Amino acid sequence: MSGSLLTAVKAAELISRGDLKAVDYVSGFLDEALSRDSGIGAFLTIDREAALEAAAETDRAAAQGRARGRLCGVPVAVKDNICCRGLPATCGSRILKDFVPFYDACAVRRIRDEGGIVLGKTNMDEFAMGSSTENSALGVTRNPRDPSRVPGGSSGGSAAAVAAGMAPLALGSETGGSVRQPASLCGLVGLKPTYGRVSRYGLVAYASSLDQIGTFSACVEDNALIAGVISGRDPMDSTSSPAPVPDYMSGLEDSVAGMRLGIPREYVPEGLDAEVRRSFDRAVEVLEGLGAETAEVSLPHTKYVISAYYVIATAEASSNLARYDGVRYGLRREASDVASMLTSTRMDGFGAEVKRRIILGTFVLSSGYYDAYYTRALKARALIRRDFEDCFDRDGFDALLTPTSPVAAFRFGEKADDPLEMYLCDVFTAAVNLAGITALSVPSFPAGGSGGLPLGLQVIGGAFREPEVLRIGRAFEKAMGGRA
Amino acid sequence: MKIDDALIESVLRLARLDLPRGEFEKYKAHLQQILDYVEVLGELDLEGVAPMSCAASSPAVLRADAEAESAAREDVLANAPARAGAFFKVPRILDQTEGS
Amino acid sequence: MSGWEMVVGVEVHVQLKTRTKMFCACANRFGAPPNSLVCPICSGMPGSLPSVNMRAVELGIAAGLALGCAIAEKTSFDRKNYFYPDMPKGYQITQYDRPLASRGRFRFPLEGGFMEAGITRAHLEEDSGKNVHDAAARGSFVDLNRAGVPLVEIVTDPDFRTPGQVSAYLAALKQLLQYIGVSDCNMEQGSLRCEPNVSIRRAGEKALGTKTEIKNVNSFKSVEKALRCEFERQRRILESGGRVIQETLLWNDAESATEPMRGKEEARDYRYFPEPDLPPLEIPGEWVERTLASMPERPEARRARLIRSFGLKEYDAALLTASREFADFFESCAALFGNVRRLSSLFMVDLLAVLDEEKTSLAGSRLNPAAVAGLLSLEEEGEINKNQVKEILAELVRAGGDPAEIARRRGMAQVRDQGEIGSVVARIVAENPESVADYREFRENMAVGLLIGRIIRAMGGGANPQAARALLEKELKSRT
Ligand SMILES: [Mg+2]
Ligand SMILES: [Zn+2]
Repeated sequence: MSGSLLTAVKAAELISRGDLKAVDYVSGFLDEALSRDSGIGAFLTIDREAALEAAAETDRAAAQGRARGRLCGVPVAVKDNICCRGLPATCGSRILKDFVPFYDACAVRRIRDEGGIVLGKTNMDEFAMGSSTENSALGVTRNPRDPSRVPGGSSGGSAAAVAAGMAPLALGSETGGSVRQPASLCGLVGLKPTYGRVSRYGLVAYASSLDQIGTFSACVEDNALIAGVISGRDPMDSTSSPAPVPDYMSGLEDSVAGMRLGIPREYVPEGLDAEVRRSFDRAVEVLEGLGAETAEVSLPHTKYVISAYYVIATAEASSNLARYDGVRYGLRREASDVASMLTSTRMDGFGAEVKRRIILGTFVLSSGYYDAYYTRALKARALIRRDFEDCFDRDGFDALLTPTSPVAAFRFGEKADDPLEMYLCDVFTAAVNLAGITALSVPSFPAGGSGGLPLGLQVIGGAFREPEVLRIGRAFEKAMGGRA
Repeated sequence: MKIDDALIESVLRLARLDLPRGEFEKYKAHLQQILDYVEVLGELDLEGVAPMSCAASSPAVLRADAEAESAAREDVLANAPARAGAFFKVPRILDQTEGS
Repeated sequence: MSGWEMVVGVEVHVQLKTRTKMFCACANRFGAPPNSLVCPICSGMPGSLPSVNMRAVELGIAAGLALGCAIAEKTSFDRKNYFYPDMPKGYQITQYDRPLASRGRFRFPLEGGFMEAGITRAHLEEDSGKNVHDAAARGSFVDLNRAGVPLVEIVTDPDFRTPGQVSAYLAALKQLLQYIGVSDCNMEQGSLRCEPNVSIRRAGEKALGTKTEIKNVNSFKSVEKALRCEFERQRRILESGGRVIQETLLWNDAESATEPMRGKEEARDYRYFPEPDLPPLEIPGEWVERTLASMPERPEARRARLIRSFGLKEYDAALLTASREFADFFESCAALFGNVRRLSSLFMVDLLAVLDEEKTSLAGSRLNPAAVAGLLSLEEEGEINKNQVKEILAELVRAGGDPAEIARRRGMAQVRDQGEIGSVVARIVAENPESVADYREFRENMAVGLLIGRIIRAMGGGANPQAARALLEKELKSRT
């Protein structure tokens, strides 16, 4: 565990100066993973040799005074739907069980360019469809805080890897809360960047207009570090923004006094879990104590979020997952003609939740239903985004505060039979993806007091307001007694 | 909206999917439950609202027409479940109506 | 046609002449080894994303403008979802709701006059790969080199009433797109593909009948044949009290018949929706104006200019401007050789015949303008005759080279040094004093004829009579 006592920021600094051996730092996490992961199941692939070789190379460079990079010698766990050259990218699916991409995702390339080291690939709900990682076809991932409970999802493997001290940093992906929710359930910091802030090139698509790579870390500072590294315009992703990336680290320690924070009343409804409410109320008090001004606000279209989200996400997914046809890669069930080959490959290759979403998505796009479902959902989405714009642009709020998840980590199987109940895990997170804005989940007061299950505070910011959101998260973390 | 077997079957055909034996009813029930849930969108007044289909904040930046090297053919074919020389190999194509 | 009228609209897919594919930087090139022009994007690998080729948009704008269309200020891409082994993503990126160009009119020559057809739309999309069917292997082989090649799809209004109108439209469209550099329009290589849709109705009726769409028509000739067949098929159905069903038919060229496709047509539902990976495209008016300003001269304008500046006849000008390649070559030659009359007859008679005999095109030949000018100069100077011009031209087309050198090698030895001829003339004149005397006594014709015959014999048949005569007369005059 030696490595995890150190922030990644500090470790990179020490390694590049030669004051810490990258091999030792990386080995610390690898040893942890090799000894503990059989009980957690965070990783699908651990790239031990390559990671150690890269670390050794870093150390050689450091000895010659030419070690560089903001992530110099820092290992990163990568969700299995993000391509790393030469490592499997299964996306938690049988249909991609043996698929090995020969290209790096843009985010992974940027991590390598800054001296970071890919440690391995982490488990996830199949094609990122789920909120518990129970939908993986390749195994179970347990919550390191309580192994009888789920780590959340869909980036459950990445969250568990960081929470268990098996990696200092991890990449996840967000479509409706898949980084923030597991961060909340595992007691981590999780950032969902603004849509277009991080290139999606090499992120296996679930719902293209909602997907965004996000980051896990134990502390806000480390999150600011890796989020800064992977952000920025990429010509390979036409939806990536040309806006320059500010230095996320520079204003991190600034005070939040005088910042205006809105509390959307729809996010603390009647009937909200009592522990979640208590934790949230106390978090708000903490920020008020730091001099932030808070006020109740309204996001009137919140009621439509989950509906709009599921129509849009499944519609795009039905198309994005059409490429899994057994022709160029992945599973194939042989048959005497192409059509039968396709159908049996897809029937055997996809799990139940993926099939359910493909069916729903195909239906909402089919002729006769398109306008009633898909077009309506896109219009509802516009209204949902407008709600946020009203808060940020018209009413001048710097950020909004909400609980990240309506529940703490739940037990295996608890929601598995009721897809709708599982969908409602995203109720506080999905609006951010629909609006294309940014949000951070930062550990808050645990459920049932200290030692209880982790809960997260969500800080929502407008488009490209990552610096503000990180600064608020950092102030809150410090006040909570986190790393000073 | 009430979904029936025929509708699910036609959607399955479009999606090139099949359901495990004996699970049709379960899928149908789940789909019905979700469709009932999303009915709530029907109560919105959407008059004059422009649909938001792309989340990008700026218009597309176009790519210059400059050639880059293609991938190595072995890389492209390495994951193929079946190949014949430099080709991907597939079973017979019976249905011609699918072609463009 | 027996009281029935055919109503035809045409969909044409044209491959754009870009360096790279529509959404990736792989080369857009025909004939490369299978799957050698492929990357994660055009092979639909997980995680890959499209990015739009600016040149393809430009060529799309040019095509739209040349067809009299309005260019959209904001245009966007959509996904057309269907499965086929040569379609790597399970969807085609195309334009559905907001095409790049729409509502155009295109005027083209028809039977000595002109016809105008409405252009419904012209939009950008990507091509699919290719399935090579292999009966022995009981399967198909997929090559993705063509996958992602940029296309413009041009859709006409149902304005055609005869097969001849359709083929005239296609010929003119092909000529236009080649001229403005949008496409090679090579039907054999599949860079131009057309799919007519046909319905029939009683002459004078206003309502449209049920239409069928015909695929797999691979030449202008088969378009006309296919339309006639389909017209007859629909007529027989309707006259026997049946109904035409809306379907896609395949043209079978060998059988000269349209036949239904195998499979369930009613299952087709493309589920078009906006491509979330590509933000809408804004086309500034300034870009459109720039494209218009830099658009190469169109066929009609070129024809008019050739008539004006070279005094060519309408018919000749039309033939010489049939393709941009031909017209460009003609003008390059005209810059080097002033006798445009002779040049145009060489092009229209000899060159067309030679290209045809050699089964090649200008681009495929070794001919260059300097060689053509050299060739015609030899003829003008009387070194070679018309038949020899054609003979040398054939070799120039086949193998290239210098026309004078070819003439010499082929023993068309009229090409001789003035000096060599001069010395022979002097020798013959000296050997034939009686003829010189004859000449002096004003029986010149006889004397000259006789002397020339001897000169030519002396030179082994290789002397140029005109050159010999000129020199001889000079020689004789000097002795009088
Ligand atoms: Mg098309
Ligand atoms: Zn490519």
